Order: sequence, then structure tokens, then C-alpha cells
Amino acid sequence: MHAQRFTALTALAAASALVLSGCAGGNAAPAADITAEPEYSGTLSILTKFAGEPLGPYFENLAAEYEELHPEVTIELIQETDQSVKDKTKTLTASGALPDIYFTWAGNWAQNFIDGGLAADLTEVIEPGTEWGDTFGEASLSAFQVDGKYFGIPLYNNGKFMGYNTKIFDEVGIEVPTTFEELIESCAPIRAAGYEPIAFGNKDGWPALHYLQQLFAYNVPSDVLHADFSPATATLDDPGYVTSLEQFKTLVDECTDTGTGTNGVLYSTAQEALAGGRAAMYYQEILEFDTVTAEGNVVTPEMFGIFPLPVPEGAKGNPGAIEGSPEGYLINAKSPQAALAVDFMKFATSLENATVLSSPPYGQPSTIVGAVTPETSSAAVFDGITQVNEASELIIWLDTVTVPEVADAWLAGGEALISGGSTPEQVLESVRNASHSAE
Amino acid sequence: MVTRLSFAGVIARVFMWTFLLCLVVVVIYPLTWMVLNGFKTNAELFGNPFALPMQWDWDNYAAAWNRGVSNYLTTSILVTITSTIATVFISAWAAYGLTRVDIPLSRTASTVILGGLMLAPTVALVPLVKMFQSMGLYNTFWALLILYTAFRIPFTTFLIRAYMIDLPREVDEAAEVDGASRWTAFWRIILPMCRPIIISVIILHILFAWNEYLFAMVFTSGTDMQTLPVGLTSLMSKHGTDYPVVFAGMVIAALPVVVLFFACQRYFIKGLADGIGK
Repeated sequence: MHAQRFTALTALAAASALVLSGCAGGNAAPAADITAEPEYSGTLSILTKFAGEPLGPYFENLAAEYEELHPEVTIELIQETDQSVKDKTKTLTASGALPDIYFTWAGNWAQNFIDGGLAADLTEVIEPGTEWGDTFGEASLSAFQVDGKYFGIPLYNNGKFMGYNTKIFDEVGIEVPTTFEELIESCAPIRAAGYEPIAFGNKDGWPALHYLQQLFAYNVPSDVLHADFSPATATLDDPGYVTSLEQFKTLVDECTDTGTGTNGVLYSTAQEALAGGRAAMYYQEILEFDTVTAEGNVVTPEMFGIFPLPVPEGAKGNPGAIEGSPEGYLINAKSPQAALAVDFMKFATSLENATVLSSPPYGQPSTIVGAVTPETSSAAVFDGITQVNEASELIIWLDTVTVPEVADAWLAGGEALISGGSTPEQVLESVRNASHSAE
Repeated sequence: MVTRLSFAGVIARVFMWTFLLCLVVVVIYPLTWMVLNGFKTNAELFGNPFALPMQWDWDNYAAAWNRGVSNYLTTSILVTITSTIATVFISAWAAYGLTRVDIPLSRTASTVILGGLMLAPTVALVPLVKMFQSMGLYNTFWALLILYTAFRIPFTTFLIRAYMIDLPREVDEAAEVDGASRWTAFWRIILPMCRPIIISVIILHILFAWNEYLFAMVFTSGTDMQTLPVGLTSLMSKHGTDYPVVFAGMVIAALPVVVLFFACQRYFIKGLADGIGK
């Protein structure tokens, strides 16, 4: 018995040693000095979200050009996909191995790094009024602004619009709806003509939140909405929430063919329904425009139009708000290469490189003023980015603007609302509970 | 002699054959669907997902190959082969030492090795990243080789040890009388006697290394170093995926294992039956 216990303890100790050995030590790196003159030598590590086609070569080409300009510098690229970048970032952060430059979404994701002291304060070099800062659209920079300080380098902008097939609209004889009620009314004649009015797939959960966040922006007063994003100040009792949830449910029931089964449909299936000419509309991000009208699809760029989700009549929020936010990069606050990292990002966001990013095959609308033009980008992308720049307010995605617990409650609530499992009031109650718990 | 089946016997056979045919369809149909969709366009795939392709050209397969699948395939094959050899050899040698040689604290050593079975890979992820970064092994072929070998040694040793422990002691004594060294006894006598379990653990390790995702995702990046399971996800993008190319990539990824299975079918079945199910 004693021997057995001894061997068991030995095994446990050995296993623990394996785990803990990696935790020992730590890299005491000096704080980032972003204003220092960069030393053009050493290795610069960058974590991107551009893995795969067609985006993969963008940073590879940038790195090759930068290395050619500065032969003593080696760029180490870690390219991840939209799916894997979260896990990779979490693991690298936990192991204290965060690269010198790393990708971030705006909102809560970036906030975590800023709060954790892992993002360098770039105010001195990027705030509006500085040489570099003035090359960006101001709204893009403010997406990464916390307490008056600027932390992020917005690389490309994004916004959500209803993309539609102009040929189907002409065939059915309907105009672009100007109110949410008109949008719902337009669905019946489109369906009668043999098309799915609005293609919608919510298998991933977030597509529903994109509708909801835009409706919240329309129906809930802006100051209330922003206070409700933070559990510390949230009350989530504005009647605009229930109105928005009801409007969303009406849209699902009246305008989609999938109805209560929408939770089983991939967003890419919905995207393909518009691209294949089977659906009249699909609510999508600017980054998807060129995919929907790509060569080989039924919908050509000439047949493709966009409009913001129409504002409901009598809405009490901000009718000029558009849902969307830039995505960008942070510089590791502990990076000894911070000055070099800033220099690389200045190179990456030069007008020339920003124009390349905004043009096919990349099609990522740069945040640099003047990079997106009718010559470099498709008409829809140019139109979308112009509307985003002119919007009175940019509302960040619901699943990234708030804390994960509340975002999860919204995700579950959106799905329950679609399937008919919960009423709008029940959804709001569950989100309120999650917000109280997170407080 | 012809035996006449009873009515109940015929019904039972009909049911059995129907059941087996259904099973075949359930297994074969998704695979066939995957292969066929590799020949379609995105529009065809979403428009008529169950129809035959309009054209039988290999563009999607070529596109998948050129978009990094050739690199992923090479890395996967190399990692699988090397880690299989390393794991099986080290485990067999360890099992031999633990079961056939009188060494002090052999029970403790057994428990320590088998204790590794309790260590979930996710628990060790963060310290391992830190260690591999400091050792310069992060994003290298060696990282995957070491991880795949180290994390499979406990399970593989456990299986081989369980088989070796039942082999008669007299074999070792006879070898010793004939003047065989420990190495000769292991290599020439014990290891060949363990063939069924060795085949079983080889099969299990190949399946593990070929399909492993977590370590490959965390410890590698870029087309030069990623394995097939991770690399195939790079073919998909949130803002537009060419699904036929992804299907073509999946077919290419599945092909080596399918070919291996048919080529070594006899060993697969016999190995698993004789080894683990002994």
C-alpha cells in the first residue's frame, strides 16, 4: 500500500514537473520606446490574420520589401486565419511570447490587451495632428482610443450593408426600401417572383448579432446604448431593445426562406445564395462585396448594389449610425523592438501599400485617407467605405464591443429568438442577468 | 450438400444484408460526395449540392495543390513517419526494460511513464510554448516531432508493456544461454514476437499524427511548416471560401491514409485484432 502510494505520488510529481518547468523564469523586457530612432537590425515578429488565399501574400510581400530596404532586419511572420488567430493569440499571450506586432479587433478584444499593459501607447506618434496620424481617417483611429490615448494601428475598415441584386429588384419592380417597414413589405413580391427575399445563415451565431446591433443603434438612444455595453453601467431596460428584437424576428419570419431553421444555415450558404442569383438580398460586410461579385458568380459588379439596413419608423436612436469597425494591429508594450515595429507599420500603412491592400485581389478597404478610390476599388467597396466615413457614428460589432459573458448571452439569445425558443423579453432578461453576473 | 434455409433464416439474412448495405452507403456516400464536389464550382456546389459535376476537370485539385496543400502533405507525411518510428522504437525499448529486465525502481518508472497518460495536452500548452520559444524550436519540424513522440510514448508504452509482460520468461533465458546480448534479445527475439501489438500501435500513431490539430495549430504557422489538418483551414476564409478547392484539398489529405489502409488492410485488421484485442 505504502509502495503504491509512493509510486503514485512520484508519477504525480513527475507530471507536475513537466507542466511547471515551462512556467519558471520569465523575460524581463524593457518597456517599449516607440519614439526612439529604430535600429534596423534583428528580428521582428508579426502575428497577422491574413493566412491563406487571397490575403496571405500581402504581408509576405511587405516583409520581403522591408527586408530588402533593411537587410539587417528579419521579419518573422505568424499568419493565422480568422478562426485560429484567437487561440494562437491567447496561447502566445499566456506564455509571454506575444509577437512585436499583433492583430486585434476593436472593442473588448483590444481592451483586454490595453488593460493588461500588453499594448504600447502610440499616442505620441499616431494621434490626430501627428504626421502619421493625419494619414488615417479619424474615426478609424478613435476605434482604438482609450482614455484619450491611442493604442491601435487601424489597417482596414469595415461596415455592414444590405447587398442586393439590382436585376431582381428591377424584375420585381421594387425600389430600394427607405424604412425597415418597407424592407419587410418588399419581401412578399420578391418571394412571389421565385426568389428568396433575404438570404440569412446563423450557424455561427454572430450574423444575428450584426442585425441586432444595427437595430439597437437605430432604436436605442446612443448614450444609453454605450452605457449598456459595459456591465458596470448597464441597465439594458430601454424599450428600444425589445422593439429591435421584435423587428429582427419579423425579418427572419417574413423575409427568409429558412425561418426558424436559420440557425442551421452557414453564413457562406447565404452569401452564395445572393452570389448565385437565387436570393435578392444578403446582409454583409464590405469585406465580402468583392467575393459576392467575383468572376464566375451569377451576380456581377454591375448587378450589385448596397444600402444600409433601413431605419425603422419612429426609431429613437441614431439613424445615421452604421455598424462596423476597423481591424488593426497593436505593438507589444514589452517589445525591445517597439521603435522598429512602429517603423514597419508606418511602411505597411504608406499610401502606396494601403492602395495595394484596398485593390483586388486583397480588397481590404484601407483606413488611410485616399487609398480607396473608384480606380483602385470596386464601385460597391468605394460606396460602402464612403458611407462608413460619412456615418455620424460607427457602432462596433455586438460580439466584440462588450465583455465575453454578455456577448455569449446575446449569441444564445439571437439563436433562441430565431428558433422561437425565447421571446424578446426572455432574451433581454437573460442578457441582463449575464451583465449583472459580469459586473 | 445443399441446406434449405428456413423462412426466418432468409428474413434474417435479408435484414443483415440490408443493414450492411446501409452501412456501406453511410460510409461511402460522404466520401464520394466529397470527391465529386472537388470537381464543381462554388455556384454548382450550393445550387445543386447532390448533382454530378457539369465538368470533370482537375482545376480545383490543381488549385488546392498550389495553394499550399503540397507543402502541408509533405510536412504531414514527414512528421507522421518520423514520429511513428521514434515513438514505437522508444516505447518498445522502454517496455522491454520495464518488463524483461530487473532494474531498480522499475515499478516506479512504469508509474511515472504511465502517469504521462494523465497529462492533457491542453494543460501543458502554455509552458510548452514558452519552452519551445526559448529553445528556438517554435515553428520548426522538431517541435511537432518532439511533441507527437513525447505525448504518445506513455500510451504506446502502456500497450506494448501489456503485451510483452505476458511473453514467457524462458525465451529470454534461452537467448541468454545462447549468448545473446540484451540488444540482440530485444531486436531479434522479443520485438518480432510483439509484431501484432507493434502493428497496432503503428496504426494508432499514424492516425493520431495524421489528424492531430491542437499542437500543429499552436506550434506552427505558415504553409512551410503546417500540417494538413491546420493547413486545410487556411483554405477557408470568413469572407469567402472556394469550397470545391477545400473539398479537393480534403480529398488529397485523405488519399494517403486511404491508400495505406487498402495496401495494408490485412495488417490493419490482424494487427488490431491480435494486438489490442488479444
